Amino acid sequence: MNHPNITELLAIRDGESTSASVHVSTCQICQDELNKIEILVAELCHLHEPQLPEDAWEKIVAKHNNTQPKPPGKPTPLSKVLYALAASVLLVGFITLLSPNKTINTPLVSVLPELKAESRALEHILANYQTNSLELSASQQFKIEKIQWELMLLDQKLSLNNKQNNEKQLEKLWLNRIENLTTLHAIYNNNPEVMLAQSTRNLI
Amino acid sequence: MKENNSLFSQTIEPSLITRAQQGDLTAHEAIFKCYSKATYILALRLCNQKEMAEDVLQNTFIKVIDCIDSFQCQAPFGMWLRKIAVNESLMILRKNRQLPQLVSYEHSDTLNNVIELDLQTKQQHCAIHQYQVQSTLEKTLAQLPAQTRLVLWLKEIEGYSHQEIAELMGKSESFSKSLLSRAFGRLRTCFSRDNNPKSLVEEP
Repeated sequence: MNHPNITELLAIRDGESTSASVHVSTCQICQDELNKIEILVAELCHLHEPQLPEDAWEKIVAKHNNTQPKPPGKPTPLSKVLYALAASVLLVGFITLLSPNKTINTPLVSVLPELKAESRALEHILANYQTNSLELSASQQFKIEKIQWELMLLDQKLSLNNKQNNEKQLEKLWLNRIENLTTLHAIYNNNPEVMLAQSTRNLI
Repeated sequence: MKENNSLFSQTIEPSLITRAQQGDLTAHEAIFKCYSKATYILALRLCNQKEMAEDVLQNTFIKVIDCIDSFQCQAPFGMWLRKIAVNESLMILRKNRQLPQLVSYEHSDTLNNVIELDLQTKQQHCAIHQYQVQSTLEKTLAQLPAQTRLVLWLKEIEGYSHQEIAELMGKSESFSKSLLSRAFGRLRTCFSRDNNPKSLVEEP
């Protein structure tokens, strides 16, 4: 009788029923083979435990602190673009408020195209990043994944609200989208300055 | 997911998790003390390089600090943490895919120290024998291709199922089974060729 190969033996050990199950249960050679596997696994469990690197916890705390936002520094050309965009939105909002033809109940209707333009501009900026070549920490990668997920959800909501022509909700969603794109840019650019543009826009 | 031989199966006080979720860094340090060894051993076995394992250890606990809010007590904390550690290891392995899969054996110095200490005891023969077994096992493990070693460790030590491994690696279950068979085949061959340790049953 042919003995089963190691793949079959492992399957039988894991509780699977194969054509060789009956043979294995009565064959001493196969039982010995199973014993050898068990001994190998036991030896694997008792391998020498390596020593933890020195100051491991201190290094983690230091690395974690480095990934936190830094105090504001000198503005970069990219953050200047965002300042300009935020200022333009502020200006349009202001003009809309002062316009005699508009009622106070609909001051931000005309802001929607601006928000879309800002969102597109940000996306354009982000598209220029070679994300593969960026040195990102695990924490940053996690944040990016989270933002990308939120952006996907926002796009779904935007599509839904577009159909319903819900202006106020659309405005809120576009603002939210811009905030997420700005945060994403801040991570790529590693420049918390950019966050200022975002807070300026929130004043509108 | 089984927990069998995993060092991650140890439990911690729920109050510690609550404190960590509230941002208490001493609670995070206590969690680190509890699971750092398990994380480092897992990372070292999967990545087979001290530098990579240290990166995995750091990134894992940074992620724990950042994301502990998302932990819900439905699953054991150790299993949640292990998932992060495995993902971090996979990420680092993928990132370093240009590295050769066969890497040098790193732990010989540490093992030599162990044997020197053990030889001072009365059970010299036992120590020598145990050293031989562990040494061969460590060497063989280190010489396995990365994917094979990963499947072996996750399946046999961490208690993952073939289905879970297949999902992690984006491959089929039969791929995982095939690599496990190869791993055992290789271990068996090395033991019968090099050491033939007494604890292992002779070849049929």
